[in-house]
Amino acid sequence: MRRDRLLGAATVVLRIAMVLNIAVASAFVIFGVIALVPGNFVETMLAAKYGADAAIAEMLAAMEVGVLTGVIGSVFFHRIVISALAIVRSVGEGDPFRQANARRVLAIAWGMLGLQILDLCLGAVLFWIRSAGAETMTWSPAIGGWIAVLLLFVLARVFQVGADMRDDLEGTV
Amino acid sequence: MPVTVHLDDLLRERRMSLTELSEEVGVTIANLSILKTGKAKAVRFSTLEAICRALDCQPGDILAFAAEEEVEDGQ
Repeated sequence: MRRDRLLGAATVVLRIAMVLNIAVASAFVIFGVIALVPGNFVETMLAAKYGADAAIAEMLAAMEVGVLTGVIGSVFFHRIVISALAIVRSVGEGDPFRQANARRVLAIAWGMLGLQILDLCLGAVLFWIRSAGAETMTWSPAIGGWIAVLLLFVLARVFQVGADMRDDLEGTV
Repeated sequence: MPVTVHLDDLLRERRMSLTELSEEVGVTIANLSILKTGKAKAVRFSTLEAICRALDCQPGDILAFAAEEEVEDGQ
């Protein structure tokens, strides 16, 4: 098996990203469940900050949608990391142009597209929270992400053609 | 497969082993074995040229085309 520093580093980074993603997704789920309970600390904090007359219920509803967006995003991200890890492993084995990798790059492209759509949803949620009278972080559409999605779909096609060519070469003497 | 490989017959005629041919043409024994047993999907011109040079023969001596039914009938 061919190992180099780049592949080793990529494996470590991807594994760390996978663990962090699971941790963040778990935190989202816990927060989402807690925020559902009447009289929870989030509700108390919002009431303390914006006053009892503020649209607390609407803020909480928007937050729940935001949390759901985050959990779905974590699922997409997990799929991306799993596919990327498998690709890195296959490069280490010296055989990256396989049909399986073409499918994995395509899965990453779809995952990234999903994340980009969720990013738009997040923008809408933040707008909703602001409309309810709460402060939010600033949001702007991630143009780079959309370009990355396009490039990933092109890369998936490149892998597909490469894998087809490799299949043709197999059995050539 | 309609294209048959007669490398075995040629080697026997030339009293040459697959190992010797492999050393002479610079193709691995494994790959020559794939060619000999008719399992190869394609043959490079460079391989064909090297084998022809080593065995002093023409490509037609190594490869032959037979219609599907002829192969099935064992003709």
